[in-house]
Amino acid sequence: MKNNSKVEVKKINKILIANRGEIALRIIQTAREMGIKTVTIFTEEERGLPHCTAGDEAFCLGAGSLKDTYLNQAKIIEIARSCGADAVHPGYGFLSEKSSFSKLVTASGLIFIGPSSESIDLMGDKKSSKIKIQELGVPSIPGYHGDNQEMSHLCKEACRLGFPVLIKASAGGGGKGMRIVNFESEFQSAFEGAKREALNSFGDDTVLLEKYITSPRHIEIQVMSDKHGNHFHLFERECSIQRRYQKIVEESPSPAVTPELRAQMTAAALKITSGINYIGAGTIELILDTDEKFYFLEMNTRLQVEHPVTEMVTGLDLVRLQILVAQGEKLPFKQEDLKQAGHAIEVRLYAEDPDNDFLPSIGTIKKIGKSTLLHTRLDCGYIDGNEVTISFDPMLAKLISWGETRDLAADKLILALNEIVFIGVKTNRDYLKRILSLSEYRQGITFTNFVKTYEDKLKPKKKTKEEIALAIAAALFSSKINGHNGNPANGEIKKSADVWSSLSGFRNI
Amino acid sequence: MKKQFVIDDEIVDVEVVDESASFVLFNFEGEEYSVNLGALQDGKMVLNMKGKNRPVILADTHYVVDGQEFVIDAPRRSRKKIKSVDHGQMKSPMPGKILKILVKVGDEVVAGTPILVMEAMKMEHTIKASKAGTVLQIHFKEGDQVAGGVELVNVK
Repeated sequence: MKNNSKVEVKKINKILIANRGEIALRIIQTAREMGIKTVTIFTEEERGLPHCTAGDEAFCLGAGSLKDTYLNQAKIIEIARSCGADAVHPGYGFLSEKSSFSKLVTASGLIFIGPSSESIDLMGDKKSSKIKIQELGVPSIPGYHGDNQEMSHLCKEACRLGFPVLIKASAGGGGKGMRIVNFESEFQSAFEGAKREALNSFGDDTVLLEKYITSPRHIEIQVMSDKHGNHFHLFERECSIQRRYQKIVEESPSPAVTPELRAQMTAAALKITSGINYIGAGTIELILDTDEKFYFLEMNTRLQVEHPVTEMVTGLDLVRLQILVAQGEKLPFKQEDLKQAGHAIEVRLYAEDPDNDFLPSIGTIKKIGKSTLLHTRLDCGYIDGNEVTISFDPMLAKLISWGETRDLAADKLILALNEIVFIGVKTNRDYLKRILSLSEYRQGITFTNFVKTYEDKLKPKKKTKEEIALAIAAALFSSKINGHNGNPANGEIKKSADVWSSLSGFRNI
Repeated sequence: MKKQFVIDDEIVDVEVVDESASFVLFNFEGEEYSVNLGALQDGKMVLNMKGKNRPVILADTHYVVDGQEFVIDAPRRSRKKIKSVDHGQMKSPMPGKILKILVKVGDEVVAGTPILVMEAMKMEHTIKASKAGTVLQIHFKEGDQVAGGVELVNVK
């Protein structure tokens, strides 16, 4: 889209959401605020999950693997056309960064709520994006992005860069197909593992090498551009705290970013979005070294999981902005109108065991709980009684708190984590509380190796005698309520569980 | 009255001295505790001990007390669980696919030796030996789908 060409404004009336879980619910919420109807899709095994019924219409994708369901472009387009949707929102993951999908959506006469397929192609490939970014004068990490994929050649390149070296899937994301190699002797097995994971996850085992920065921070700039050539940044998020290369704590502002650094980083981000004529919401991921130098890592051409922290500090609704842009409207602000107020922190609640190598877990959610705090938000794709299976990502929910200061936001988030309990599935809830309470976290000593560095300090604490006494008291009262001596099974809860099992039949219709 | 609970797999003895619908007084490990029951609704109760309000969220045998989760069971129901002994079996932690087997029958392993690589929830997980010994049997081959909790290898 040329900056000076006339852009047609076309109101969206019905959005098909090509996604599931919390992000589907998030999009429905904003669509309703804008008077737009929504359509969701779901698989056979998902019946009973809230996103199946939260929109105005819902259609089943049938059963089978992701390829046959959420990645089945033809089927999704067919549903969109037959239900009369005029736009498709891809959410994050799945087809959100598949240029073939955005092309197909557009070719079918529908609006794709996202960037052009050219932008997705350019930024989706780690090699081409690095080349473009260098042209635009934004620094990126030294590495090897060549076509020669032979083990011996890559190993030679790794030696040239100097260990430690990072092996990454060219088409990758979310840490899949990624390995850190510390010594030449470890290269081969890491290379094979990365290739295997890349092939399984993305159907493409091309890898690239990068110089590994030992104590980096992960800082990202939220960008938003309209079709009229206006490019904005919505400040930074810090997402350094990760496990298995996936973010678990995200915040805005970053405790490491000074106003001067922020100005440099956001200027670099805008150089990229204006340089590639970007449209819509995106994220420029940067690696910040201890010497305050930063490097371009990658650009995500979609809405990010952690977008709520940006929403809470800017007061903007990012999904609304995405829809406005897709309708061809001008973004309704100037850069100087945008402010980063207070502090917001998000934690990702995962079905996993942080005390056993973060192994994913499955089970039935008996109780999620409710937050009673103001300025605290739960973005959750489940309700009590739902089953957590191995078919989808183990993220259960995102919990976000806003406070005037970073400490206040963290304190509130700990309180909220006491209320959002996710009983029934092994989760990282307590582990997240340990992170937020750690004095190193409070001091902002947050590097991407945080989880490993403070492994010992993040071990579970032994329960105190007083805490056990309280648990005993709770069990005594509970057994009294239930009417059984010594049997603490709770009568009231049993009843609610029964309600769910009787409801499940109804919901299966 | 003496009572017994199993809290997080440990047997706990309690002597209840006095109790009413909204009050308990009990001895636990040589100390006396007096707790009042405040509000009770929607599977949530508030306990008051020494003036401090402590919210408790309950579901089945799970109790989240002031944010900390406990599993509390009656002794008889959970006796079997406590007695679980490690027989040297390495089990699949969850359903998934066997990607790579890193040992063969007859190999000597120590606790922590990588045994095989599984894929579950789109991520690779390395299953490690839980104790030292010799690999006696490997029950699956690369590419096999396995259920959760199934014995993968036998180490003796």
